[in-house]
Amino acid sequence: MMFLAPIVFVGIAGTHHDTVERQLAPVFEKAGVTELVIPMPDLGQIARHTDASKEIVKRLHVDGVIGGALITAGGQKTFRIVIYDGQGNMRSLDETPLAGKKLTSGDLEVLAINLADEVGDLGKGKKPAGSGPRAEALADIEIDPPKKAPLPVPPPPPARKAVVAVVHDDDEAPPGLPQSKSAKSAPKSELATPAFADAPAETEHEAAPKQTADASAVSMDEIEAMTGGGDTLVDGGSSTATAPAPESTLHLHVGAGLALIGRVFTPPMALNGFTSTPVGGAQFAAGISPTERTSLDVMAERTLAMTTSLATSSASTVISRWEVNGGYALVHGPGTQIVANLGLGHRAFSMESTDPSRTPDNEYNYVTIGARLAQPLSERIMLRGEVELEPVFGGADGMQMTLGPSTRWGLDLGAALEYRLAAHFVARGAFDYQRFSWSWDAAGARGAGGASDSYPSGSLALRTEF
Amino acid sequence: MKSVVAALLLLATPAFAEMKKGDHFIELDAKSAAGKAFHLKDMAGKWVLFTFGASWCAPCHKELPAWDKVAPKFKGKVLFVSVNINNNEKEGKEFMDSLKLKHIFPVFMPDENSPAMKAYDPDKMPSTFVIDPKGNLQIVQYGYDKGDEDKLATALDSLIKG
Repeated sequence: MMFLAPIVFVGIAGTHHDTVERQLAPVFEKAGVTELVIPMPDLGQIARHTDASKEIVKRLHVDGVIGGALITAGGQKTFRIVIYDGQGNMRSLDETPLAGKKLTSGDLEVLAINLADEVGDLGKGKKPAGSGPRAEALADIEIDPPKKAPLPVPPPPPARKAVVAVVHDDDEAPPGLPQSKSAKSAPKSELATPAFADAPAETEHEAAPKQTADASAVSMDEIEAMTGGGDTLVDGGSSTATAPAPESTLHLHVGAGLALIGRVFTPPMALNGFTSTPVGGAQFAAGISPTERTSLDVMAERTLAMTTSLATSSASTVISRWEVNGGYALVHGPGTQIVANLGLGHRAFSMESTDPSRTPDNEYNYVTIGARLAQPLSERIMLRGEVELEPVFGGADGMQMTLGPSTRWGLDLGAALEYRLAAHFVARGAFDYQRFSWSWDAAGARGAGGASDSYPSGSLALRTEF
Repeated sequence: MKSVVAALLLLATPAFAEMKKGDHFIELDAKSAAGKAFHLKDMAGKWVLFTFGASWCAPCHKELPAWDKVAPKFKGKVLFVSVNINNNEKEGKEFMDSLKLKHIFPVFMPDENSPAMKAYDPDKMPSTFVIDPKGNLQIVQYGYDKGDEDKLATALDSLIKG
């Protein structure tokens, strides 16, 4: 009977690793990895994968060793995990950027899956490390300029992976592959049929027809057409000389949700203010991105059933808003995105009452000038933020009769967290704070001072995008 | 019984050579999203960059968009192909869709039961291979770090110019 030595986790080198270590504890426990304390210098060697790491690992007499390190570069903390087999051969080295001081749940999930695979393989004594560390892997970018003269067809390479032959009996060759006689005698060429062997000289290749003989197979032209890489398009199975169709970058999104909308209105002393607890509302948003960098978004929200208690009755009340924004991505890519936006908006508060003691209605037509930020936190989670300056250029001013013409402007701050539920569906939780301020040229004379009208809101929405 | 013995032999075998520069390519058993077979042999005469990736591979989420940025520089010269090895093809397709790649052609080759995958058997994901117009491997790269796309572009440029 054979007892397997354990697979051990020897710790994380670097400072401030407690959070990550706590996050990883259940992952290691689930994977059956035990903790082992080793001298700090040894841990450093293991984490850095130095010349000494192999001997250090071998001395531990275990099936596998896992070490980690927190690395800070350019203000970004990255978690490195290094896995060795019992002989000190490095099996993998992966680095994951931290979100703050910790791993995101998505990264943790991926790490757990990879770790389970690695630990499973180590336990089974599967293949030793094939590739070197990450640094070596990069150094492995081998460049060998192709010969300019036509080359003879390369001979079939020798058997590389007996595994293909091993997993099949003699008469069980995989579909489409020639049957192999045995694991040892299966040359790779038999397994793989490298048909480039038929290829004439390179210059002739370029002129050769690009269609595949098999209509059910993907042709080179199709790939070039779909990736915008070629000069020809496949048209009914034959090449034409037309230019490739422009790649569509059109993206659409539509979303709807529920909102809680509140208002705090603080007018000059002469008028009645208004404070409401957030009330339920509906929100709608849609957008179109005709190109990679440009977008047009619309949104609208409205309270659904809001009443205001007055001295002798209650009045139906509505808070509403809509905005249209055009955006241009200043920073664009798979990571952080920053969009400058310009648009128009409308905010209104209205109450169906003629009660003289009521607070005045107000309406704002404004321009939006601002920026939006999108920052992916993980594979599925996106953080968004926005800030807008909103000069008001129109809309009924409920205090004009009392205090004269005013100058109004607004400021809007918003943040949202989005979670991708599936390829085309996103759940979104958002918070927004919009505040309008007044000033009167004749304020001093009338003692009006200033006024503010704030609209905090929160929303939960579901969005679909294509 | 034959399989068991062979499996034991496999366990006893110390290591198999990896795909390396100069090797002739091994044909893939991949399909396009539309279900058409994808064969490297049909790409004869072009440089082809193909990279193995999967939705569960964290670096792949950054690697493919990075290659997608580089690809237009090699328009008409190099075909960029992403070989998704998710066993759950639906997940693989969702992953590829989510990346919104414009210059990389996605094909799907579930890891399970793929003889080609066993032949390439990359130790690290993502794994990127570049074959020349004659089908010989010229670049083998494992893993992805930010900035690798620039190194790859330089390497490709140098190779193509000969």
